Amino acid sequence: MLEIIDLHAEIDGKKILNGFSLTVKDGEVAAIMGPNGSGKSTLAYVVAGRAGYEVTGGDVRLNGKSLLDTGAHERAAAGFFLAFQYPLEIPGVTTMTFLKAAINAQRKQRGEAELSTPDFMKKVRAAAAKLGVRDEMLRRALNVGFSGGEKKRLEILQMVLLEPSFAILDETDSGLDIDALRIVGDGVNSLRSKDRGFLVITHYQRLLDHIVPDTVHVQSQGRIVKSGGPELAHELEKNGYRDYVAAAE
Amino acid sequence: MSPQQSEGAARPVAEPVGAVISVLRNDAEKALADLFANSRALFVGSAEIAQRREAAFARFSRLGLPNRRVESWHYTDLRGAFKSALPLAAMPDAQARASVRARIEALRAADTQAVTRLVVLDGVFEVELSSSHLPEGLRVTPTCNALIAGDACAARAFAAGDLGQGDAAVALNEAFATGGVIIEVAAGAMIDHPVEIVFLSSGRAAHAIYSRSALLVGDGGVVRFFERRLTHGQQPIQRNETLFVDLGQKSIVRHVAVAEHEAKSAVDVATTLVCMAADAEFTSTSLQFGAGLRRRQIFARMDGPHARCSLRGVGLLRGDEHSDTTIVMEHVAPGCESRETFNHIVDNDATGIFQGKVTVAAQAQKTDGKMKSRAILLAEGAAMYNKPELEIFADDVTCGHGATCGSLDDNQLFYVQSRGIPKAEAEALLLEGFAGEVLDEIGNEQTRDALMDEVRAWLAQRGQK
Repeated sequence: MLEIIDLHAEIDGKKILNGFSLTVKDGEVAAIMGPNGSGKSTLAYVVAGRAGYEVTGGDVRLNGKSLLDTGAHERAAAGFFLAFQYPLEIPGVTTMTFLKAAINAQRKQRGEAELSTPDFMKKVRAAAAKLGVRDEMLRRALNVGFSGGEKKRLEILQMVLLEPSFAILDETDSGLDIDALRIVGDGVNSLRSKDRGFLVITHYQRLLDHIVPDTVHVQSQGRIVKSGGPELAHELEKNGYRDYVAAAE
Repeated sequence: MSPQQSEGAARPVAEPVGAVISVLRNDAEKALADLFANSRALFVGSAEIAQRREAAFARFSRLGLPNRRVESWHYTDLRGAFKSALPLAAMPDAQARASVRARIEALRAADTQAVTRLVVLDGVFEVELSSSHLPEGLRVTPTCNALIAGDACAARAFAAGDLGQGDAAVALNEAFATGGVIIEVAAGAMIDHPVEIVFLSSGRAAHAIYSRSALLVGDGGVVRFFERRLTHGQQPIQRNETLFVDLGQKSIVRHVAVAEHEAKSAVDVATTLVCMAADAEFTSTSLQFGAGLRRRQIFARMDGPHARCSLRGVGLLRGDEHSDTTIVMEHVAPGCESRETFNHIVDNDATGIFQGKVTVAAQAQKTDGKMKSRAILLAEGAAMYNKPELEIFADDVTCGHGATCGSLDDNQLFYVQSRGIPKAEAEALLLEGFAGEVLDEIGNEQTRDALMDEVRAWLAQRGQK
């Protein structure tokens, strides 16, 4: 369960989050929609523990434990995952090497034994096949020269392998064509379970056709201004954010 | 009149153009002149070679030790580093051989493939420490023996296509070198296993080493060629070793060079001279650690059309090390391709230098030349100087260069950390990737892995501090 409680955060003295509160229970898929500049990506970064943001108030708890005093790597080991809007290219590090380093770094922090190479390979190959990630991509440097869709699929592959208890998907639909959208949607749906929560950040309804949310929330001016069910997404698609932006001001 | 006086108000009238200007010599330059005059008895070789030596030393006398006022040495003050001229290294004796035997054994133990290993100790080829069995198509002659016998290979090794003739360090080498090893690959021969030259010093006393080695590859010959410069210890040393690589038509040389860390007291100048005939292919990948003063200079010329030359390297520097890579790539024939790709990681107060000059002669149409130098600086005091230069006289060419310098990328670091990898490991992973990008181009997996292990070991030491 992810609890975000009255969160205030700023960067370079500029307030981005202004009393953001949201609770996403285990097994729940929540969607956040909102106009550009409403602080959606900032929310994702602050929860993930990116340096440069100053949290000036509130708390973020994963499964009851506050994340705020922990580093990004510790949050990951605690079960948090962020699928990036713009996944970074890591030259010279093959996807396979990166995946193994990440899995074993998390296992080590949790006091678990490292995964053996054959077990790891088996796991990766099976997950990759489901997501249409070719073997050749696993041997190439992570995200280097990958298309937008390939990068997003790689994000989902990482999520599948790291088995987080909670994941934020930051505009995972941007840059995806219809086929890729379906593959990514299927990947996320395959991970849905009663023990795992998701927060899907998106501009558009179309991703939510593939990943049907339990709750939909509108973010504006750094906080939630409206919450509802899946029907809220359809309403937003029709009428836009104008009413909610005005309400927040 | 002393120079101090000439600085006064009564400045003498400017000397007329063409007048002989007497150059002030520093102690090291004077000592080098004495050393040359007093060592003539050691300078074996034919009358022609003797003439070359005299001409080379005359060139050196004119140029003096390179210093900041010499453009191609602007960032590396060899004159400042030469407090004196150290005596020439003595011939290695049994004790000297014994002192390095363990290191050669260690190299052998680490071999993942059969290697023909040739050892140059204190500038002298050591039969006893070198591989006794040579594969077919390979001829190995100690430079000294070739000089005494008047073997044609010695003349070729010293002439070296007249490359680097304007460089003072090359001139010094030509004047003083008597040792080294000359490797000949027969025309059409494909040498299966790598041939390696190990350069090392016994470190018995402060001394100077000058050696001249060569790899002469006949038309169509194919060889993998390793070069390893080993750490010698704490004694002051002045090392000036030159290697000439001559590639016949359609020959292929895959070169991998490792220069280990050297002590602060070490002055290490390694020159590679490369001549390429038509359709020849030379790829060279280097892993270079720092030293008190280290300069690796490569003078390459593509004499025949459609030759391809790719020079790549990784430099890993820390402490107050200084490492300079300077390349002069000459395109004189049409349709040739050259690539230079160098990545440096510079920590603490170390200094890295990359100077790359590509010249394209008027007749060298359809030249394709690209040069790239990138550096990651890990500390405030770390410095990197990039100096790319293009000099193009042909009108139908594709040439370009790029140079970057910066700290580790915060976005990449966060991305890696967000996957569960702690900061220090995330940094190491990114730095490993930065080095790996260049070393990945080594086709042979075992060779590449061995070099990556050295990179990881260096990065691990960083973590321990």
